[in-house]
Amino acid sequence: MTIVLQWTALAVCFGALVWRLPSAIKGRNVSMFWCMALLTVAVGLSIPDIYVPADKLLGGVNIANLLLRLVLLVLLFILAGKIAAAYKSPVGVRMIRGPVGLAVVAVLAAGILVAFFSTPTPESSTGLNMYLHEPGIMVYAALGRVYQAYVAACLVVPTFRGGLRSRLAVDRAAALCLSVGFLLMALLLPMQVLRLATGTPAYVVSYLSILCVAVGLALVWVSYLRRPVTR
Amino acid sequence: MTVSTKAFQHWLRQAGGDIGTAELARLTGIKKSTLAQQLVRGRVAVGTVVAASRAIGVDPRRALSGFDQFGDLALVPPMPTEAEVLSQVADSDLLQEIINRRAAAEGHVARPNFPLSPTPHPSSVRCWLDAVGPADLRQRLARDSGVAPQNLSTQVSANRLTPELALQAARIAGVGLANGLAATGLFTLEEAGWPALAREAALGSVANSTLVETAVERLEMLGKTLRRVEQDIETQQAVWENLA
Repeated sequence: MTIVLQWTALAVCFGALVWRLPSAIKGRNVSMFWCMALLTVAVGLSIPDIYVPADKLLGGVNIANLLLRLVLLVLLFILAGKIAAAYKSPVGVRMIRGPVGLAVVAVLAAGILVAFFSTPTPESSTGLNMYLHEPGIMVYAALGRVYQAYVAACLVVPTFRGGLRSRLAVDRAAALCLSVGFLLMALLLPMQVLRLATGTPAYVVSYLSILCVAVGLALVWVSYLRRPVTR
Repeated sequence: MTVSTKAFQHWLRQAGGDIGTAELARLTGIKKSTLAQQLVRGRVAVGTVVAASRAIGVDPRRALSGFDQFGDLALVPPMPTEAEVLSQVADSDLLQEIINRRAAAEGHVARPNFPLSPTPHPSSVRCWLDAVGPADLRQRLARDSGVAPQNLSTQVSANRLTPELALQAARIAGVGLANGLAATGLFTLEEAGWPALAREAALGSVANSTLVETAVERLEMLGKTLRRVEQDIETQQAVWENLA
């Protein structure tokens, strides 16, 4: 079940990437294309069949996982800022791109680097599953999720409001998909901390949230393609 | 709002003799599959009854009044008030009349008659509700019919109103029962029992002040609608620019 969801998420992300390629070449919203590329990398690196060979190339000491965390951080920063701007949430934009948001990213990135290099992880392991009992890795894994939960929490309300405000069904569906995805993302961390969801349920929630966000973004693109020609 | 298949077929046999589904579809211009589906499901749309009655040359108001839930449509309707008649005149026709009167007042020309836009005009439902209603018409309508106020306001914004709601609104307002159906375009004004050329007569005789005030209200309403559309477009542009 988990593996099916993982590959589905990867396929959706990759599909969206290929779909956006032509317009990215024409120079339309190139950063969105890079977001999709980063997302595809991040989802790919969560799958054992891709992670292990990739990590071997990077020395086999789980640098690939560090890379995954930093990719996610950058991806979330760009994407969340754009979504907050798209749904016209000045508060959201400030919390993500403003001084507060930048401080949060900087602190978390520094914490991730320190935690990773303070703990030896000599053998390739997807998601660092082998080392999850090490205190350093527990902190390292938690820090990555903190930022995801942070930006997701910033975006739940703006996207939900956007969903209520939109006139067309496809726009409403897009915004609500995003909102549901962010809600799941924001809830995942507290659920894991409180031990309400661990193991497989946590994986399912995590990939469902990514799937919702990817579908939401794809629907925005669908709505754009169907725009009236006279503008 | 629908009538049962049995009642519909009973009415059709009595009113127009035996007509098959295919023949009825041809006469009314309703798609055969749509018609068949309504008959199979036992819920024939009011619009279908109206189209069928026109096709066989029966007055739609009389036809509908033959069904239990529309029995009171048979009552002789009161004359529509001036405000009610004017509510069915399009914005552009009101403005045209103002301009014509102005030109006539300056003594240059006689006031010309001009052909009015067809009914229903783009905000006919809202204008009709405003013209006939007590101030709390919409609240009472929502309460009486059990329709959520938001649902009602969505319909009105889209210039739609289900036959059920149109009838109920007319009952609450105490005006001719078919008038709401005319405002939604289901009936023509004549079919609702209005005198021929009622709109032309009202537009010709309305006081200057009332004419201008009506036009002002319409333009204000139009301005609000346009602003909402512009905001919608702006909202959408922001999403597209950032995410598409």
